[in-house]
Amino acid sequence: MSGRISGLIAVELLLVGGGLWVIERAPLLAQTPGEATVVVFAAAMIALAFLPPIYLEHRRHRVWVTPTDGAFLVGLFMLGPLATVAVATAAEILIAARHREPPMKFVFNLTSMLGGYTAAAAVFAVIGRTDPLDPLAWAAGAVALAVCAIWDLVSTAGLFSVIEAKPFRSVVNRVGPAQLASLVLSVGLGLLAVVLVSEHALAIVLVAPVLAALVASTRSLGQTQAERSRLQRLFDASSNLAPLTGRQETLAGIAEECRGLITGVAGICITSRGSEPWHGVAVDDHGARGLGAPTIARLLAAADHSSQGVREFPEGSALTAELPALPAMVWATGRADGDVRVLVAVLLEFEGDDQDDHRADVLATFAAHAASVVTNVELHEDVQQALTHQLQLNRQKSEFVAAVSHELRTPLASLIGTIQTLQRSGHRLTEEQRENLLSLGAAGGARLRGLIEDLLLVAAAEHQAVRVEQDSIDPVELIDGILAELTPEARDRVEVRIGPVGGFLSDEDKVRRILLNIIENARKYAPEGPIEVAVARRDGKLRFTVDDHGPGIALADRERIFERFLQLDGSSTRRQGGTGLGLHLSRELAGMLSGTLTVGEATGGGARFTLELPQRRSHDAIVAVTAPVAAGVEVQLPISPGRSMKASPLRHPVGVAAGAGAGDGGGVRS
Amino acid sequence: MNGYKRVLVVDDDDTIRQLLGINLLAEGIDVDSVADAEAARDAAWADPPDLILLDVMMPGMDGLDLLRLLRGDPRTAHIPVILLTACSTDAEVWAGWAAGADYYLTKPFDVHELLDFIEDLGRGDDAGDRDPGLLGLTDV
Repeated sequence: MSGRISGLIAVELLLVGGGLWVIERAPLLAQTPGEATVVVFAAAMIALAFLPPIYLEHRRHRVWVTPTDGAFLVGLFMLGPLATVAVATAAEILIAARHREPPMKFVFNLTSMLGGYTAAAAVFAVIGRTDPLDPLAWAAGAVALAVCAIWDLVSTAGLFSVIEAKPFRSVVNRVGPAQLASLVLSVGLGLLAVVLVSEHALAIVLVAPVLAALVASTRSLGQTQAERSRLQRLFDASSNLAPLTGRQETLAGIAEECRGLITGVAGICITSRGSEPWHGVAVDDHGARGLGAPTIARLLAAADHSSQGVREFPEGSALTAELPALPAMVWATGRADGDVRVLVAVLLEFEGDDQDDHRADVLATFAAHAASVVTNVELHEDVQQALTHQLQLNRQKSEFVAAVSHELRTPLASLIGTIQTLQRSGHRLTEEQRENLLSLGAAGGARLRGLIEDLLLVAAAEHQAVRVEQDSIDPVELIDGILAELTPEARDRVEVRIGPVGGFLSDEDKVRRILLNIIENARKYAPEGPIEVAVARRDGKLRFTVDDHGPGIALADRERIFERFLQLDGSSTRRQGGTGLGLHLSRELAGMLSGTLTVGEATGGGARFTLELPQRRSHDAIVAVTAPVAAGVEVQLPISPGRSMKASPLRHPVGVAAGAGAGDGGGVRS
Repeated sequence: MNGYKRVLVVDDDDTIRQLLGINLLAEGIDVDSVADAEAARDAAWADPPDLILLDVMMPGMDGLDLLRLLRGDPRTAHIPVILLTACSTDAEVWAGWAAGADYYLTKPFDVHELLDFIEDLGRGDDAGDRDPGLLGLTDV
């Protein structure tokens, strides 16, 4: 890029040379001003050059009118072209030096100025009219300044088309109107000065303060107007944010409003809540796009953790390729309740100047508002999410109530039916029939009790009001107890394999419930084939697995089955019975025991449920309670490694314990 | 009619089957019990009973499917069917009537009511009256 800028500079220098050649041959060259005049003029010009510029704005572009343009016109009349160009150029060097611009820019600006002044001087010299009271001479002055302005415009547009790769014409269209206004103002002021000075050279002494006063008042008027328009734009920008609802839409809206507010090329809005990573969008003429993490990191670094400011980027140091390479950035940060931080930034075509502090102030005001808008939008989305979740939960609850209602009705029917039968025809029944009836009623009651216990436990688990006991558990006894609770048909399908694991400390009732639940689950969903229950020690943990040979559980459903009230397939679950509580409850219980309950695929198909529990050794904790287990003695259950057995309440555990020949001491009792 | 001689009980719940069996036997009615709809279909077609007590939610074919099947078959279309189920919502009850039930009882059911109704139905008091407004919905 700098190569192309150097090219631009070279072309301009060539044209400057041509202009000087023209001036040398023009008749006006003969005119030589007195030294005193030159000195007074130079002093006036430099003084004017130090007056603050008047800003003119058009669309996203600003140009500034320096009184030096008017003074240049005076010089053409009084000093002749060459001396005026020399003095004006000297004044520009001083201005540029004061702004401490980067070298490339300094050279470019100077060349551009020099070119404009030379061209204007050449035109003036060629027309050759210098009578301050001659309207044709005024026209010559106006044409000269117009040439200067056109030169400046072409040069600036050329620069932007190189920097931004924007069509030359679009830049001219944007900058042109403001340049024209600047030209009219300069010509007016300049010719006024020319007429006054023509009466007497010293009139410049009077003219200068008048000019200065005029400039100052214009400037203050401009400031008032600018302030009013800033407030209006701030209000408009804030109002425009009101209807935004989506997160991305809001960020893009904020970025777009910033861009309009500060009249920059690209608007940026990034945000972060609490310790979440920053994210955000940039908006320019090509539309809105999300920003990547590297760009956001560069932006944050550029903003340097300060709440607002202006930063100029030395040529070539664009933020990242995601953003247009522009020479300056204004930014401000805002913060709102709920830890929402917002950083808004605007990339500018023009480097910083006197007014930039105002821009940052405006942006800061807007950023504070933007932060609360982002907060509201996020709250809105949170609430919507929560509402959706609640509605879903509510629906699940309704389904659950229906399932529970069905589950309660069936055992209740047994219970009530039994009693009514006895009432109605008890006297006609045999003793055996009565016994049979009573046991049916009792079974119904037991089913009801089990269901109600599950329901209460789920409710208690939700309020974390469940007490966890520390029992010494012997895995063999545990599994035996569980098998005894199964129906005989179910028990016949269970194959148990207990590895060389020791006893452990946990809440026996809860472990039993979990295992019973997952075995019952296997029985229901895998109507055929063995149910393999295994206990092993793995990575210092106790691992219970229950494998079935049913259809298995689809990957997508492996977490969902643990959700409360969930019924994978309403009809099938209802056919299988159950309330949709068992697995949820089991996982809750496993969590209470500092363990985990997961589901995967069994070898050879089917589902495998795995319960892992920390193996806190019984003897670590119950030495004081159980006399036969001495401290430091490894408690080893009397089971041969890898022994496999068909579960049956008769053969086991008696047979196993006897076979291993360790009758008493090995067992762990609570 | 002199009352029913033989009733087919269809329910996957063992307790309910036994309970109904004891009661019906005590009233002097013979009982065939099956635990699923497929077995009930076969039993009904092979030797049509006088009355069917039918559960709705069962593994495999459900009670309503069976009911439609029976109503569509000339051998069984005339047999009175009482739905005896834990399904208790309005929609479920209507679905039962729509499928062609003669009576709809929700669990837990009243044994006296059931037996009285079977007796009435057997005498022909309510036979052919399948107006849901007068029958099951008042019970829901």
